[in-house]
Amino acid sequence: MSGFFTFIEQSWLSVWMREDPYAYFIALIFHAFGMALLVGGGIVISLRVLGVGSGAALHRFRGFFPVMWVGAAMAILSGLLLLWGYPAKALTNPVFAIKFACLAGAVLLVRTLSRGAITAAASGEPLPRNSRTLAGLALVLWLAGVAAGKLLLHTYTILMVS
Amino acid sequence: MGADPLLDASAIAQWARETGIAGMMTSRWGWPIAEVFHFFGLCLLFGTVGFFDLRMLGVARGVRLKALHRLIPFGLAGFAISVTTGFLFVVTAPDQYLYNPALQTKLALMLLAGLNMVAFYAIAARRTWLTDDDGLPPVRARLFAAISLVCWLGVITCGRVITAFRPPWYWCFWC
Repeated sequence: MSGFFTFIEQSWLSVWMREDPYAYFIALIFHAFGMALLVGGGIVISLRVLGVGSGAALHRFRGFFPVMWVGAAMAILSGLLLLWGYPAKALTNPVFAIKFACLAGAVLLVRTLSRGAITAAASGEPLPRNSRTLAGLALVLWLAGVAAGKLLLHTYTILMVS
Repeated sequence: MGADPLLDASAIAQWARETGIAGMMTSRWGWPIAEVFHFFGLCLLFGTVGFFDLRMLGVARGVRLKALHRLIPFGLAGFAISVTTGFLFVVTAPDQYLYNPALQTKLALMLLAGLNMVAFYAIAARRTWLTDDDGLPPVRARLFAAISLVCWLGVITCGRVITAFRPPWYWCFWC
């Protein structure tokens, strides 16, 4: 694994991410924007399924999905750049895996809600019985993913291997 | 470094030590946990206020604005969480924050967002609630939404670059 980290750390992109005075901060800003759009949308949809703002037609919240996917794309691309700058810092930290698992789980739950509760709402049917449980779980996973992301800075043990 | 006629960073730090805030924040998990809650608050704020702004600007038409507005109290709770934890950061390490242009800009944008919100409720909210589910609110309301969105994205940006302006950066326009 050490050789893999060294290979990445010595690539021009990795060196540029670490040494350019603006590159890392710009990637951080785009990562924050992307996460805000992705997690923000996830929170809105979870709260609505949980019953907040029930006067708004649930199925019309699908209109927020494109914003969330743009956010996801921004977060993933900028996240890859941040990862490329310091691969060992993230990939040797179990908290990074927890962040990834939480966010992936939350996205899967949104997909499940889209196919279940939101589709049912669109056809005027009652929501599936487990909808609120899934929405609550998604809310917890979104926040856990954010928490894990913040804790990365405080839990890494290796910054670089080369 | 000029003398500061308004703020005494040493006295603030001393107060934080005397009240136990500094001790709590500099413990092993104090600062990280405060950061986690700071971001929880920001997520709640942007997820509700930011997405309400997006709806006013035409995203997700069909979502009734008046109903979506019921999510705003969660945003206000998030704002309160972020302000409280932000206060803990500043009083624990005032020299890192008070003269930091990123924090000063962040606070200015928060003030602008607050004034913008007051103006929205005073000027445009009543007509906004009359908007059809598939329609757009009046232009004035959309303008308030755009300003709000820009302010909160600016707040996020400033928060991310605070670490780029640590001492010896010193920006005190009131000194």
